[in-house]
Parts: sequence; structure tokens; C-alpha cells
Amino acid sequence: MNPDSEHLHDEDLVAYALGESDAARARAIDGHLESCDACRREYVGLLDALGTMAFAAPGRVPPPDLRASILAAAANESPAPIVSGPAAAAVPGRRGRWSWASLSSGWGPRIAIAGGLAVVLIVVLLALPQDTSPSRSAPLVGVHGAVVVTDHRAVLDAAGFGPLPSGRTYEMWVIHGGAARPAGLFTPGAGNVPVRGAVAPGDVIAVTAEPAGGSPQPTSTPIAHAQVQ
Amino acid sequence: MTEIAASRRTTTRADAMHLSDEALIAQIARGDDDALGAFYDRFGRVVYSLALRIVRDTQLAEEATQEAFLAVWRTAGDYRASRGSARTWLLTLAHRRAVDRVRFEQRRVVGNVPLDDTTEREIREVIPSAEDEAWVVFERERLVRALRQIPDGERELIELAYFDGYTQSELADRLGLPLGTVKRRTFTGLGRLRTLLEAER
Repeated sequence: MNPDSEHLHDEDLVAYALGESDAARARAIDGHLESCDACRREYVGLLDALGTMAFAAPGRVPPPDLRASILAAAANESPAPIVSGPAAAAVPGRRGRWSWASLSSGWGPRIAIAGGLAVVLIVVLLALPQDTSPSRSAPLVGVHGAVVVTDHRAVLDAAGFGPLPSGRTYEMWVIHGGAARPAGLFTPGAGNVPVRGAVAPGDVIAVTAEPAGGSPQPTSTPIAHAQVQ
Repeated sequence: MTEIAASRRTTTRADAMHLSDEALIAQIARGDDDALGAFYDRFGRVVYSLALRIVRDTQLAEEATQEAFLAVWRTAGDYRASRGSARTWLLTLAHRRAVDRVRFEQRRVVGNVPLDDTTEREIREVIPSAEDEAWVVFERERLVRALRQIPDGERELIELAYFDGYTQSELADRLGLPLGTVKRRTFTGLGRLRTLLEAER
């Protein structure tokens, strides 16, 4: 198949519409569709017919909390592309609607906007009271903000965390040697929140949404995390 | 925080109800979470029903549904009307996520489930549900009328590929047909479906 000069084969269009094309083939097909009106019309027609098949599924009602769950997850996502960090793989968690595994697969391909994070970092550093000891700051991944560490104490800038459904709270975790320990709760709109307990370079500070009162171990994917420098 | 939330919120719930699907996507691309809520209110059941039909597990169906709507949230700015309606875009995203789960979890029914089993029964009859909105019932009836006019061999291939996530090669193996035959029948069947659906509009 020469994607630029010849029309796509029907089978290519079907495979692409069904999500069966491998990445290289998908890129070639996508590029051709961009420039070829005839193939694009054919493809859109196929996709539309396939999409209508969805209505053959017996009608079922999703659980009522799914809507709030989706909106909370959306609110907690940084609108800018972000990069994945080591926290995702560091902590085993039971499979929930937000699974630790899906974090790594979902966020993996994203691209860092290092400039944007650097600006946030500088703003945070300027905004925090200066201490006699040197402070080290690490940008949060997942939500705009940072963790600032002075000696072995960490403070999370939590201003960027959005609203949660009722009955849920944000919980901080210190992940050390593959184990997560609870490090305090905070509510949306909190400013600078102290992370409970000592932290060491290499530790990951992660934030999850948990049932009110907090959990002894994380039950959901971290919304944000940062590695202590 | 409240300022950030407020600046994003440019559509009220009442406004959003009257927007077209495509207009809602444009609002979502601006970070309007009320528009995302309205989009979910419109299509959440259809997406969940589709996901459940594919993955056959309520937990996995919830995950696939959540991922589909989050994909809309993240990539609404990439939506191109030239590649189909907003509804088709959403249903394609949802279908991919559900099928990926089935392929990943190896959950689809393995073995020799007769082709005229549940899938066919579900599709050939309109299963009424008091919960369904009128437009969903309308779409389902339109689809079922169209599917009844498609030769069995083609319809079965479409159903197995769409709902069970079988690749064309897997279908060829499973049904003992040459791969070329599977591909041609699937394409022909989808072409028929498209023509029949368009004629019903």
C-alpha cells in the first residue's frame, strides 16, 4: 500500500475501523485519510455503520456513582500533557476503577511539558517561606503543583487539586522501598499541606482519592505524584 | 482552586442539554466539565451497555466507560468532524477500550459457542427496557430492521468482530474460512448495513 498515491483497500479500512491495524499501518492509513476525500468518506461511512452496532447491546444502566467518578477523575487531570513517573509501578494496589496499572498504561505515552512544570516550580519556590536549610522542590506529575522538601520534611502545594465527590478525601502517601505509608489527608482547596513523617531522597510522594477518613493502603490510582530529590 | 473550576465552567447544565453533540465536544475541549457531564448524561448508558456487552463484567465495563469519557476529556481538541459525528467518535473510543480489555483479559468466550447463540438472539429481537430513552429505542429498532436484511454469514462476522473482539484472522481460523473470504464478507456486510441504515433515515 502506498498511502499517498493509491486508494486504500477495503480491507484496510475495515481493519482500521475495527482497531486491528498495527501502529505503523494505522499511521499510514490515518495519513492517507487526511488527504483523500474518497477514502475518508468510505471510512466515515463504515465507522458510522459500525458505531450503530452499539445499539444492539442490551440496554443496561451504569451504577449511579460512575458519573461523579468520571467527573472527579477529569477534574483532577492536568489539562496539559504530563509525563509518567516511577510511582505508578512502585505500589501494588487492588484493582479498582482507577487501577495503578491503568495509570502507567494511560499516562505512559504522554509528553512532558518541562517548561510549564519549571514555571510552576519557580512560582512555588517563590511563594513558600524561605528556610535556613536549603529546600529541594520536585514538580508534581498529574496535577499542577510541587513538593518542597526541607531536611527530611516535605510540604505539598495542594492548591491545584480539584473538587471531589462527597464522601471522598485526598490522601497523601510516602512510597519507600515499594511500600506505601499513609502521610495525611487534605481537602480540595487546601494550600500547603505538611506530609506526615520523614522523607528521604528517592521516596515518591503520591496522592489518591480515598473514602472519607482515609485508607490504610491506597485503594485507587494516584492522581499525582512527585519524587523527592 | 474554586477560581480554576469557575474559569473553566462556561456552560450551565441547562445550556448544555440543548447543545449538539459536536458543540458539546467543542465545550469539552475548552475544559468545560459541565459539558462533559452533559455528554455523559446523553451517552453514558449507551457506552456502558456496549462495554458490558463486550467485556461481560460490570467492573471492567465501568472501567472501559470511564476510560472512554476520560479519553473524550483529554482529546476533545483532536476531534475532527471530517472523520465522523461526535457520537461515532465516542462509540469508537468506547469500543476500542472495551475490546482492548477483552483481548487483554482473554475474557471473551473461548471455544465453540454456536454462532446462533445469545448474540444473534439479542440482536434479532428488540429487547425492550423501560429504562431506555426514546432515541435509543429508535436507534435500536432501526438497527435491528437493517440487520435482519443482511445475509447471516455477513451479519455473524460483523457481530463476532464488533462484540467479541475477534480479529479477521481469528475469525478465519475459528470458522474455517479463508482469510480473504472473512475480510470480503465483513466489508460487504458493513457496506450493506450502511446502505440500509442510511435508507432508514
